Amino acid sequence: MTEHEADGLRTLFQAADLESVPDTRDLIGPAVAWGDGRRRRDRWTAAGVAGAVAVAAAVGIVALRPGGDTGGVAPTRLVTTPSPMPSPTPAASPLVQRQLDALRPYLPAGYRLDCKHPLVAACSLFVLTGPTGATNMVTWSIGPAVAQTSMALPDRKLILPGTHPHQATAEIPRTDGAFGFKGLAYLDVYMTDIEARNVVGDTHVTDPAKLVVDCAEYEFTATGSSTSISVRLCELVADIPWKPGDRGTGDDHGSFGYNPAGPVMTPTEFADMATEPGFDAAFRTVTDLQKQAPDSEKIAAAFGF
Amino acid sequence: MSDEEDFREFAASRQKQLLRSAYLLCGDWHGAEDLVQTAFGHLYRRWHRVGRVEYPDAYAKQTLYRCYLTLQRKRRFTTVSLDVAAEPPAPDPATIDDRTEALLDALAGLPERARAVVVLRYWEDYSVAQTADALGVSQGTVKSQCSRALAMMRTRIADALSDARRD
Repeated sequence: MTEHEADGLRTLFQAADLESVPDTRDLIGPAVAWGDGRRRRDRWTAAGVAGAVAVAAAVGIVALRPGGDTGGVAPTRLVTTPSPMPSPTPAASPLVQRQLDALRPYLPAGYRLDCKHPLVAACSLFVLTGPTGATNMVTWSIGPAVAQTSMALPDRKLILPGTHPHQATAEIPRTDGAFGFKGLAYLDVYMTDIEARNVVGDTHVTDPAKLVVDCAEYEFTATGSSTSISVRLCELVADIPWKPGDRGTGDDHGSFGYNPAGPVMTPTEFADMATEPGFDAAFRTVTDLQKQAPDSEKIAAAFGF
Repeated sequence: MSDEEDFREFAASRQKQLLRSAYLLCGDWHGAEDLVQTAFGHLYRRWHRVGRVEYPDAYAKQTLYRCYLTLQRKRRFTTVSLDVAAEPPAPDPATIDDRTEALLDALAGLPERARAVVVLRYWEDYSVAQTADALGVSQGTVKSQCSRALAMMRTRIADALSDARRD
């Protein structure tokens, strides 16, 4: 069609008799009602997604400081299903292997614990994988930060240099009677944490204005037990909001190869595991081995920090 | 002014304008009403975002045209029993003139996307780039759709107008 014909069509449109729009029914009221319904649904969807992420974020185990002394009693309940991956890689160091061997017997059936960087003498990043394939990061307090003097508070909570207290943004779903939740949360500023990039010196951390806790530490006391267990829960957030002007570094969790597909370990499973006789001794073995690791700098280099 | 009042004021002021465009797309006023109401629903759902855009009128039109394409696409896959399928309403010859009737008849013969392209280009007077942006397609698609649509409309309009002159 030529330009002339196109002009003719435009003229036809302009001359179309569309001025007399007939009276219509109320179009706006029903549209508002429908839009309100969709808005409510959108809000519920957003809340559901946020809740799912919070639950998925909640369960990961870390850095346990030995609580009560169970005297290294051998576990009475061995796993019903052996770990499908007995060794992370053939090249795992003997130290890492001893750590894994110490913990694996206590894992619930179907769970797997691996070391993400087994080539260094100690493993600072463990990955816990659940039966569904969901994984969670498990980091340990290692290296110089642990070697320096820790500060003990009256409530027996240890605050390590560089650790920064904040309110946690996620709560662990609680099972009635399973846990006492003390609700104290700390930002992890160790070398495995991207928050460490804001650390000046060893003991000072820049306070983020808007904080999503990356790793928070909680203390649990199983019902009927005098043993308190400290656990670091790493939230699986896609991004950590940094205040304007700060370095906008994305969450490094993705590079560690775990996914936020769902909760990894339920509170009940954790309670069963943590109250198992011998569990404390096993963890003590792990942390002792961790402290012996001479190459924390190499670990930091392995993570690219 | 509340969110809803703000939206109601905006919708009331644009309703007729959107109804005319919808009429050209649907070919009948009832279909046009349904389309405008659907577009209003989507607009209200995202009203907080509409308030921030530079040209809310253009956003409303874009919503209308995209709703039209979505509805047509959904309708294509809807199974309707022949017993209950309604006849498409014919334009009322008493209310429209021959040229408008010929135009509507020619538009009715076009595929939905080509129809949207033609109405945007020649009724809304959008450029090729604006049309492409509104429909979320490339400019090349707009040009090719427009060319084919005009070729199809040429004969239909000519025939309709010559019939009208004979009558």
